[in-house]
Parts: sequence; structure tokens; C-alpha cells
Amino acid sequence: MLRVALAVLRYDRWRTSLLIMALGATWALVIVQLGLRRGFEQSARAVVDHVGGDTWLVAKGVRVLDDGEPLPPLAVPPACVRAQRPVVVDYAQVRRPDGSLTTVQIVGVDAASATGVPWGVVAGDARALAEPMMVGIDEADASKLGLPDGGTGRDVVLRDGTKLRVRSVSRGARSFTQTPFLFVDVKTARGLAGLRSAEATFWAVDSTGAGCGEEVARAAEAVGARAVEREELASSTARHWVDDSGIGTLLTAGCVLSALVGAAALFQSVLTMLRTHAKEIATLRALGARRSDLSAFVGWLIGSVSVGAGCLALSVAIGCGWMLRGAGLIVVVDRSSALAGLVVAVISTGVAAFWGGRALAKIDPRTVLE
Amino acid sequence: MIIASCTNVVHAFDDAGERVVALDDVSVELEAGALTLVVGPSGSGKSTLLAALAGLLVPTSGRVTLDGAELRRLDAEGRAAVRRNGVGFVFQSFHLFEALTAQENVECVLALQRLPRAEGAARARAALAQVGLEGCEDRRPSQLSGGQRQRVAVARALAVEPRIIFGDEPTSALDSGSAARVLDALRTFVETGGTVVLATHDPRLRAMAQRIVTLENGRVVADERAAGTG
Repeated sequence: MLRVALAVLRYDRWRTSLLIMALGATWALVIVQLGLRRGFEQSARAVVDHVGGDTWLVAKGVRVLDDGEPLPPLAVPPACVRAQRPVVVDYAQVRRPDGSLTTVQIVGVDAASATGVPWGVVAGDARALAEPMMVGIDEADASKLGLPDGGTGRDVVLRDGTKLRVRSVSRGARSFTQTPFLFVDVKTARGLAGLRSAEATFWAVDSTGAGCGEEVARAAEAVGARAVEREELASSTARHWVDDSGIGTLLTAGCVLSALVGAAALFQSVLTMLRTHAKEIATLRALGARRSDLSAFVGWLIGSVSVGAGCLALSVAIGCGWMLRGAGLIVVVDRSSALAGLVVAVISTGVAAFWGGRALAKIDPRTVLE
Repeated sequence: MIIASCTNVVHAFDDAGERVVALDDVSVELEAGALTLVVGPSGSGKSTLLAALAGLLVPTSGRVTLDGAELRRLDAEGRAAVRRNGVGFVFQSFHLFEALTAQENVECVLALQRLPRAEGAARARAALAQVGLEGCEDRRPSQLSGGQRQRVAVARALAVEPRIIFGDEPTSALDSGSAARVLDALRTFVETGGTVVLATHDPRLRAMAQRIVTLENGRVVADERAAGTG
């Protein structure tokens, strides 16, 4: 039956190609929208994830990385605390050469201790940021900052005229809001944010083992701060930007809609195929084909189209991811996105096969005599 | 030997609220090794009788046997198995897969019998040769004339090595030459012990039939046998 199904698909090559393209496009949309959602989540939580740490100290009421307030470190760190690293996140404005202003997000960490921030460095040297008034930027933000050639050695000028020299350029180190990151050393960041020398807007706490969280929480309370698990801060930041902004819901709805359109297209096409080949199917039945033979015929028809569309969808999704990366958007096309696409494909194919099977059962072999 | 029979068969159905009796108490016994024609005007019940004898429909009442099996006792899969293992069909409009070549059209039916592929291919080639279609194996139905298409259908019917072939107007759409070649193939099949039952309007077939059953309004009104037969 596979040979017959493939021959039928080859014979109906235009219809088959159109179906594979339509189906592939809708499934690619599913994968791309899921990948975009995951890319946005990654962007929103990237700073927290790259800084690392087991527990973060945050000001009371703060749930999102972007809302930090000045905090001292733990006055009496518990014995299980290995290190507490300052993180400064603040907003500033950059004046571009044409005089216009653009908002930027300053991210200050201890550049000398190689914390993983900035990440994805493709030019310059991240360790050089340990020097005062040095900055790392993302290549996709260069033109926004008035540095169209994007090279290191150029100056980013803040609103008050302060100059920061670009010493590292990253690829893929962008914020969820597309507000350019300015990666600087924590000392430079404190100066720009008006913090005192022992202050930071967050502290990443490294501990020596599990069970340290409660002790850190008590110590944090003592300095008027709150201790949260790193994952909790990263997730709540991602939720804030991706879900609370509505973009996550929009992308999820887009996925569902694309999956439904794909399923409807497949279902309709299967019915059309069955109608087109009803006489041949009735003939096979009249000649003694088992129901399982006919089901195999329809199964191979649908399965072959689905495999073709699935491969196309994955290629298109990878291509879209690559193109959107150039526009500064991250589309995560990995095993889990592909798996999600596969689940959608399998469900759509299963539904189409089920209804195809029902339609098949209604084909009466006696119609060969009509 | 009786290869197919129907006894007191009635088949009725509703058509837009009106009860239509397609077969009205029909009893016929078909002997093996004969060519039987079922004739009669349009709507007389020829195709319905063929469908009932071939197990394509279960009549409202009555008993039908085919190749030793009482069809009413079988479910759809059982009736399909009887057809698969001993019945060939030739239809007026051929019902070939347009997407398949002549060879593949024949092989496809042999695949239903779970024949090994090489054996199926060899048998399909032999059946096509039997109906004079050597060299046409790789042609699609659209690349064949009407007569050639019908011969592919005959080859498909013969390839399964059936004991009985049912034909519904197999020559009606063919010119005399093509019809003669199709009939030659069927005659050869009968001469080697096969049974052929044809529903037809085609008067050209009368000369070669051993038996002619005439239907009118779903009833058998005549049952003639050629001289020298049963």
C-alpha cells in the first residue's frame, strides 16, 4: 500500500506539494512562535542566568530584575555563604551623535572575576571591562547607540556627557525589551547609578551546599532585604516580561491557531484525496482489500505528507531562526521546540487519520457497479 | 458444480421515501465453467444481482452462496476474503488507478493476496501478456486506449487466478476490435474451467454465452441455455 500511496502522491504532485507547503508553513509557525517565546524568556532572564549564584538578595517587594533598589551586602554572612557578588542593574540614557537620546540598561558585575557577563563576546575582551569607564555592547545594538560601524574603541556618550569606551562586542546579548545593554564593571556601574561603594541593586550569593537558603533569608532580613532562589528571580522576571506583557499569550495563541489551521488543512485535504480516489478505493475493496489494507493506504498517504511537511517545517523554522537572529530576535529551535512541533504534527495527523478512517469506512464497494 | 447461487433473493431500499424493489424473489444457480449473461433493460436489477452474487451487498432477504461460502453468514471482512481469494472483476469504466502503471495496477491486487513482490511482478507481467499487452507494462491508464485499459482490467482480474469473474458492461464502451480482444481473453478463461458472469446490454456477447438470464423489474423473466449446455 505504501507504493500505491506514494504513486498517488507523485501523480497528484501539485496538490501534494501545495499541501506539504501549507502544512509545513503552519507547523513552522508553531515551532517559530514557540521558539520565539522561549527566546524571549531566555532574553528576559539572561542576566540572572549568566550571573548565576544560588540565592539572590533583592529589595523587599522586588520581583523583577529591572526593578532593583540599592542594597547593602549581608552584614553577617552565614558560614555556608561562599561569596556574595554585587550586581547593579539600572537605566540610563545615551546621546547619539545626531543629538537624540536612547534609553539603555546598565548591567554592572565584577568584571575581574569572570562572572559570565557579558556573554557571547565576538570582539574585544570582556576582562578589559574591569577598567573604569569601559563598556561592552551587543553588535545588534551598535547602531541604536550611534555606533553604526560597531567596532571596539569607539565611545558611547551618556546624556550627561560621560564617555564609556567600547571594549567588548557580544552577539546575542540583548534584553527582552531590546533596550541596549551596557555591560560595565560594578564600580563603574555604581558611579553611573549613584550608588555607594558597598551597595548594589542585587547580590548574587554563592553557597557551599543545600539548606543554606534559610540562613541567607534570615541574614537578608537583617539588612532589610529578601532572599530568593536564583531560579525564582529568573522565572518571575521572564514571566513579567513575557506573560504579563501579553506577548507570551499572543505567541501561545498563535501556536494553537497555527496548529488548528494545519490540522484543518490536513483534514480537508485527506477528505478531498479520499473523494478523488473514492472509486479506486471502492475498487480495491471490491477486489477483496481488507479494511487494514485500506487504512494502511490512507495512513501512508497522510503519513508521507506529514513527514514531508514536518521536515519542511523544521527547515523553515531553522531558517527563520537564523534570519530573525540577524534582526536581534532569538528563536530557540532545539530538541524541545522540535518535539513540540512533532507533538502538534502527530496529533494533527492522528486526527486526520481518524476522520480519514471514518470517511474510508463510508466508501461502499458496490459503487464500482454504478 | 455450482459456483455461485442466489435463492429467493429480495433486495429493496428506500429512495426518497419510496420503496424500490431492485431484486424480487430471484433464484439463480451458476455452473462453473460457463459464461452467463445477465441481460435486461436499464433498472431491471442486473447490477444489483451482480453485486449480491459477488458479496458487494447483502440483500434484504434470501440466500447467496459464492465459491462455497454462504455470504449472509460472513461479515464485510469475510466477504472481502472470499472475493480476494477467488473472484475477479471487470467494470465498464475500468476503475484503474490513474497514478499506477498497467503493471502496478495488476500487482496492486496481487499485493492484497500477500504474494511476494517478485512473484506478483512476474504474475502481473504474464497476465498482461495473456491479454496482448506486452510492452505496455509501464504505461499509465491515461497513455492507453479504452480497449487497452479494459484489457488491463481483465489482466487484473485474471492475475488473481479467480474461479469466477464478474463483469459489468465490460464491452459497452469499446469498439468492435477492442471488445473482441477482451472477449477472447474471457473466452479463454472459460475454456480453462473458469466462470464468467456478465451484466450487459451488448448484443455482441450473446453468441458466445452458454446461458442468458433476463431480468425485468427485478424478476427473472427468462433463463435460456445455449444448445448443448446444462
